[in-house]
Amino acid sequence: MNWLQTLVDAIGLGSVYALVAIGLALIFGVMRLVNFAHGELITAAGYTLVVAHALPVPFAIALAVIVAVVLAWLMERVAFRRLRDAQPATTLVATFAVAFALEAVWLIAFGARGESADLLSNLNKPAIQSGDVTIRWVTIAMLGVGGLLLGGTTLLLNRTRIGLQMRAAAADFRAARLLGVRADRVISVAFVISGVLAAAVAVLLTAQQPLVTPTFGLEITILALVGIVVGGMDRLTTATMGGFAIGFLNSLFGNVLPDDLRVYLPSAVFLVVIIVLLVRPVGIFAPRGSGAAERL
Amino acid sequence: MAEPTAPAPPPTPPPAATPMLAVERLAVSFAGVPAVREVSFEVGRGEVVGLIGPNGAGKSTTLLSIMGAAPLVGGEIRVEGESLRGRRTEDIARAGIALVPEGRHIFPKLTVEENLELGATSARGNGGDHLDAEIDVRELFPVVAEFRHRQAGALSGGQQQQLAIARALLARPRLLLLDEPSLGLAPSVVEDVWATLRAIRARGVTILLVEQRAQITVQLADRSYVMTNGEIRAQLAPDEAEDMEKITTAYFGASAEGGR
Repeated sequence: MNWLQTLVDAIGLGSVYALVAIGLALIFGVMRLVNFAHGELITAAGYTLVVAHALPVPFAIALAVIVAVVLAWLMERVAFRRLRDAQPATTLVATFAVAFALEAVWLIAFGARGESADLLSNLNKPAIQSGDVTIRWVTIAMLGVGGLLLGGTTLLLNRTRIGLQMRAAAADFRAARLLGVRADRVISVAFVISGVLAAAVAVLLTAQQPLVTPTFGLEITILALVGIVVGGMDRLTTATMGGFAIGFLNSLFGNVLPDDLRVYLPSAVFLVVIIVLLVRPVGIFAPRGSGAAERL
Repeated sequence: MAEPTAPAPPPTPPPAATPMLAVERLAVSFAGVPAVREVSFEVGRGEVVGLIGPNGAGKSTTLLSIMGAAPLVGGEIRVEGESLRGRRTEDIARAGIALVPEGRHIFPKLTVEENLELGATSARGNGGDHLDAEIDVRELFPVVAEFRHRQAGALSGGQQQQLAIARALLARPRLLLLDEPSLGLAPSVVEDVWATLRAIRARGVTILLVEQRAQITVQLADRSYVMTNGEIRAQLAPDEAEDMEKITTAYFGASAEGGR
């Protein structure tokens, strides 16, 4: 048992969960939609890497990004756009429907056992070795890509015109439209960004562990969603921190718990979640005395 | 980021007789309950028209239907002869119609500057500049210029109202719709807002002003319509502002006859 090693690995995985959280929080912020189908974007990118494993790595990654972005855009265009004025429960069920429909597609196309996307397994080699602590390339990639995409998203939101429009739409969609902000455009851009983030998650996850199954993206999405709710869904920063925390804890407990207790890991995580929500319903990272206010 | 340029309709100068805004037999219902019944009125280019009446008369609903944000069951809305029916709110805004909504709806967590930047969205879009007037927002709204880096939510109510009007003017609209700009403001602050409206009016901006404060609206506007119960009941000229009896009758005529 090496505590430092466990911690290093947990930080890496936490970054990946944070990326999932940003994608989910962006869509929730702009259109109040909890997109359960976000995981299918990750899975789609994962299977793209499986299919494209013979291509040079940059091309395979580019293809995965394109597939996830196009699928994200299509999802909104075909399924969610016409439900924009529907009850939240209706749209939530619609995202479930999209998720399960796509999962059926993966099952039919690729089977239940899973396929290997091992084009980045080289990243599992050690980059830095010091005593009994090994930092693998994949951990560095997770931190680097996570930081880069978080920074990029923040810059886009805070420094560009479309970013400003997204923040305005997140705060008061009707007021934004009254000023001429195009609802369709703002929402499409949010979905495209969530597609890019999902592809990055797929690349990082397969680099660590190449097996892609039909529920590849769903599991991490549900956990990240829990993290977002615990962290504070109403703000991009708190949602990201919540995503990181849940990924970090999951990796930590996974390594610390003895094998025969590991089956209880999800139960343990959800127990923590229930306690947190009972004590701080707005989220642990939300500022004191804050209600629902700014969303991005 | 550059906006995509949708094909804009060719700019045909409308004949002088075409009003800026023509509302014809407008009817709006919410879940089968009529809110506006067959309302017709016009606003000429450069005119200021008041729409007064008690709470729930259908004034705000009329403004929202002009912006494509209320469920129309009948009627027609034309701006310079061009129908707005069936168009999306953002496209109507980009066509040069700006609404300062009731309750201001500024973005409190964004800075004053960012709020103004958003106001310019329509002017930058395919709509372009619809306003003939020369308006220097900094000169008209010194408060807004002074606090540009502050969070908009930190401004006082009156300052937020000034910001909301400045933001709407940055869209360079051909028609400015104002929904109860004096609501919830202290009397001295209301006077500031009114001074602003007079200044905007002096620069030739076409305005449709919805208000509950009847007398000062009738004074400011070229003409005012009294709306109660979803219908226009009377029309008042500025020199009738002192005629409280006429205003009161227009307001309460129907219920007075009902023997209240």
